[in-house]
Amino acid sequence: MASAKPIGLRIRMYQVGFGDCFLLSFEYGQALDDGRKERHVLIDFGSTSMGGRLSSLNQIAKLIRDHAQGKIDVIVVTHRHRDHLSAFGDKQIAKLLVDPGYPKLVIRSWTEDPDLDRGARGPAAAGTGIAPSATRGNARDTEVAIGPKSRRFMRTLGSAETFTTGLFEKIRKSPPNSLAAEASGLAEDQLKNEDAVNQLKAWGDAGKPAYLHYGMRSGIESVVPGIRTRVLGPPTVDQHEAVKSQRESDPDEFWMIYNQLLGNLTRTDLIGPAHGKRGLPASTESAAHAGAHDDVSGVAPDPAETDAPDSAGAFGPVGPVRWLTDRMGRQQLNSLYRIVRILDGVLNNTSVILLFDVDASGKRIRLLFGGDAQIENWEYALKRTRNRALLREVDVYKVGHHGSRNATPRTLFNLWKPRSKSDPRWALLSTKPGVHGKSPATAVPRETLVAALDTSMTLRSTNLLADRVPYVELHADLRAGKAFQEVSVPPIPTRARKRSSEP
Amino acid sequence: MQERLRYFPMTIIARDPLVTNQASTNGDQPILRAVIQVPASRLEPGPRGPRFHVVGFDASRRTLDRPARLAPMRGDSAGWDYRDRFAKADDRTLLRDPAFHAQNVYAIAARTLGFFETALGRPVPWAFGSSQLYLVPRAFAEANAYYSDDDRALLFGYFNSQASGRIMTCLAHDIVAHETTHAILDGLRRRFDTPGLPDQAGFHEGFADLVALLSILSARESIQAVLGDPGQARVRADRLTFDGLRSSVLFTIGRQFGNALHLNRGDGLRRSIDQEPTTAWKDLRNPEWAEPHRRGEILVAAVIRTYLHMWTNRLIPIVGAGTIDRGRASEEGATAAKHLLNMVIRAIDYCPPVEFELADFLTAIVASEHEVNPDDEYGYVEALKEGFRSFGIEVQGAPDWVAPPTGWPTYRDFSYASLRSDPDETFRFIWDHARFLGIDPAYYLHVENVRPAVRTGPRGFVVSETVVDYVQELILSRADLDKLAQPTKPGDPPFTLPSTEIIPDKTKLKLWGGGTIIFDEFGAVKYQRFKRLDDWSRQQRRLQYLVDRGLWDTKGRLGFSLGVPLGQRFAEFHHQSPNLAEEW
Repeated sequence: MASAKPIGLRIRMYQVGFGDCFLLSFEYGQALDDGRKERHVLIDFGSTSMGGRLSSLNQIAKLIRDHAQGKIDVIVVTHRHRDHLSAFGDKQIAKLLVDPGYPKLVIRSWTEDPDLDRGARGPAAAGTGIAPSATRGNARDTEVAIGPKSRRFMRTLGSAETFTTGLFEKIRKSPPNSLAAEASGLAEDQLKNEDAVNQLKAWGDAGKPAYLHYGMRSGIESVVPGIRTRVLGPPTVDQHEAVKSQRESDPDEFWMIYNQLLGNLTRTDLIGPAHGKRGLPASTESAAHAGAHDDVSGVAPDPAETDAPDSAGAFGPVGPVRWLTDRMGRQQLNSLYRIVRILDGVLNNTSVILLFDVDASGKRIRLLFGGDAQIENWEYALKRTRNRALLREVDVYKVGHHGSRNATPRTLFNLWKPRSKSDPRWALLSTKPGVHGKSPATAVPRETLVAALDTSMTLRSTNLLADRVPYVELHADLRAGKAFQEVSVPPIPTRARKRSSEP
Repeated sequence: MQERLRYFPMTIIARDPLVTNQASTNGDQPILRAVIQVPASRLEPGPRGPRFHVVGFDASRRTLDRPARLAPMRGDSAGWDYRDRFAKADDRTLLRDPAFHAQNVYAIAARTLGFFETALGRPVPWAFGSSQLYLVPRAFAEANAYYSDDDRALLFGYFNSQASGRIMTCLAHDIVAHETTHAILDGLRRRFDTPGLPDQAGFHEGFADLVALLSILSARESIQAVLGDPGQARVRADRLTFDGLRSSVLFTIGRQFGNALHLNRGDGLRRSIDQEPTTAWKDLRNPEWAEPHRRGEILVAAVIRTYLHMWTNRLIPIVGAGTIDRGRASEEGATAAKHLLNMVIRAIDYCPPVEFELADFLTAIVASEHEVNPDDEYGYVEALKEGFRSFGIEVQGAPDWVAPPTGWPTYRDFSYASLRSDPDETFRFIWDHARFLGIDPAYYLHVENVRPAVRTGPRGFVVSETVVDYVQELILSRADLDKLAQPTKPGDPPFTLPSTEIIPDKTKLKLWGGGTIIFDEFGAVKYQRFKRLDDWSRQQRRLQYLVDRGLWDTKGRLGFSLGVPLGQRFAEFHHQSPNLAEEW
């Protein structure tokens, strides 16, 4: 069956609001070795805020079940943000999605490899990196790719997770539309998602897991014959240091300090007294607060003579000093918010970037899926001439990070020359406005990018789908070498609704 | 009674804790210090003076230091008897004593404000109502420092770095001077943060860098410590050339801070002097140069490269046997820096209050110097013109000198005293002479500031002026603008905005115009720098830029605000990614 080639390719982008969920279905003219005539690759399945008047991911899961008949061959989870994997944490959905024996292959980023313990302390393994194990056996250059810097980075991620979890606990359920709510949402997206991670691990153990970084073979070809894939990201930290961001270069200190600082701050410090009662139990807060100042060794100057807060936790005498200290909690929250944003970027940059290459009667069709990869991830692939040549001819681009300002590098975008109307380049954008980014400059999706995509490509965005239309579908007849055609999708009929909760 | 001091000599860290005094004779190399003269005033604990109030609050650790007492608080002279208790302090004290941190930020901020007040010849207001700006030396644990207008404060963060240890931004002279300049400029040109032409957004950063660099260069100690071999009294002349000096740490902004963040090791945060002359920045289609920070660097590069040429040229006559006296070389550098610093500050008064472009700044320098230093004895103006020219920036025509007209303007029935201080009287003057001044009264006009200025030229004569700035505003829909914006002259290109799909007809737009009028010492108008509201070609350029950069506000309008949360404008500015050119 090695010579089998797909004769059709169907891409579905599901309406998951702020999240990603894509199903690639490869259709074959003859039965493959298991008697089936198709192969399915699911790329991400998660949401932090549903859209299109659909209330739950269950509805989407049922559709995916219909579309793949429970036989999803490959599951790709680009990175560990909730909006890309939350559905997998729901046992019902997991059961609905795949029959026993599936998926055959579970693809994740190298940073998710359980053998690289992100909580590990102590000196990083020196020099040689880790030996490729059976589960990573298709790595071509693991030896050099995962070295001491990458291992140190794993520890960073572990400490950073502790930080975001701590922050989230302090500011969850903040008043809507407040800065705290925004920070809380961002922090929540970065929580460990343990249920989902465990499910993926279980699937991987039953089938085969792959933890990818730039330059490895994905292994998809062994499950989906007749196509080619390339892993264009993420680079490991040893391959490309920029992916770890500039500000957390020192995991042992940076996050330790922030974790300690967070211990000093109460919910009231961060979001103000009016909402304090809705925070943690008083005992937890005071325990975290009491005498914690001097724990932060190395950051603070010599203990100065300090004024203690009054019984209400206010600092300084009433008057100009109090006026300022009362306001500084907001600055601190802004500061923490910036740090959560940095970490958000770091996790985005662990996204797997896959380029699918499919033959359509001599013509190449290329699909580019990069999760939420930001510029620092992309740039490693983009600096190579060979990659730029490949990327120039992309037919379908999954718009990075729900259309944010920094996940579609202009260098990439500028590679794409205008195409004819009969054979357009497609941009698939899965997003929901108003969830992230309060200012126009940080809003997701970013208007300027959307306008540019809309002008130069055929853009389909889930936020423009009619109510209850559950997905966008494109189909290409590969035998005829035809371009993708959009398939009309009817809305899900409204039923007497039983409210189900979002996973 | 003993006469009170007019200045308090305060010890500060000359550059940042990484720059040590290599000429120390004690065998060690302590942090390089400088003693600067801070205008004397009563100092409450904090310190808290008439313009600055240091509050030792750490929002991350939730601690408030006892306010530093730099002057005894007893008796009739309470707060006046400042004594520099850090004159002989060891490095550990400088690094760890919160009272020194307080003194360091207070002194550098006061010195920076002093530069402006001396150059402009008047007190300089903050943008907010209060006279006192808070300085918070250890505001939070974050690699950031910024001006928060909403909190009336400069907030300095701190962080730890594996390579460099503890980094406190309040101990970096350039960072403190830079942030203070943001606050000062915000008070002088409140509208520079409105969504404007592309140069305007970068000007705040560029100008703050420029003042910070020239502030450090104007302190002789800072220069002397890094010239050649500190053990020698003379420096080889071939090391004091443009190319020999440009790589110096003197021209690096945020050295310790930037190095600690592993950006470009050794390069600090920015080294605008390394920007070779280019006109590529004018092409807004080039994403690198559409980015405002990079445009700000053009300003810094043009001035600082000119500075280095001026300095090295001044050294040529004092070369003896292939070497130059270290003290003399430093003195020349400091003198040139002070002179240029005065020039760039004075020019702010001559800049338009809105719709600013880099060419306006050069034009303002030329106009301002024409008044205070008409003979340009040392050729600073010509050198700056040349420096800007190398980046494709020319003086915009003749400065808008107001030629003596026939019969106009009339000063009859105007109160000279009121014209110098009263916005309503000034408005009446503009109203009566709208035609003469070229202002279209159809648009709303508001006099924002009437400020006296007393300037002294190097030759000693006093130039007394009144600086008036006014703005014009127009809020309208895109459809209304399309109807209104007709070419003013035959042959002018038609007014074309991006399609209505991009800017729908109903989109609310805010347009700006405005100018600065300078009245001379007799109350007669002598100069105007004016951006017409109905310059449709400029408005088109601005709106196109705002659309290209996606600078819509949260209500989907253009030209109103940048939509950044309160107090966070400058925080975000300092926190942007190094890949802005790749972003949307």
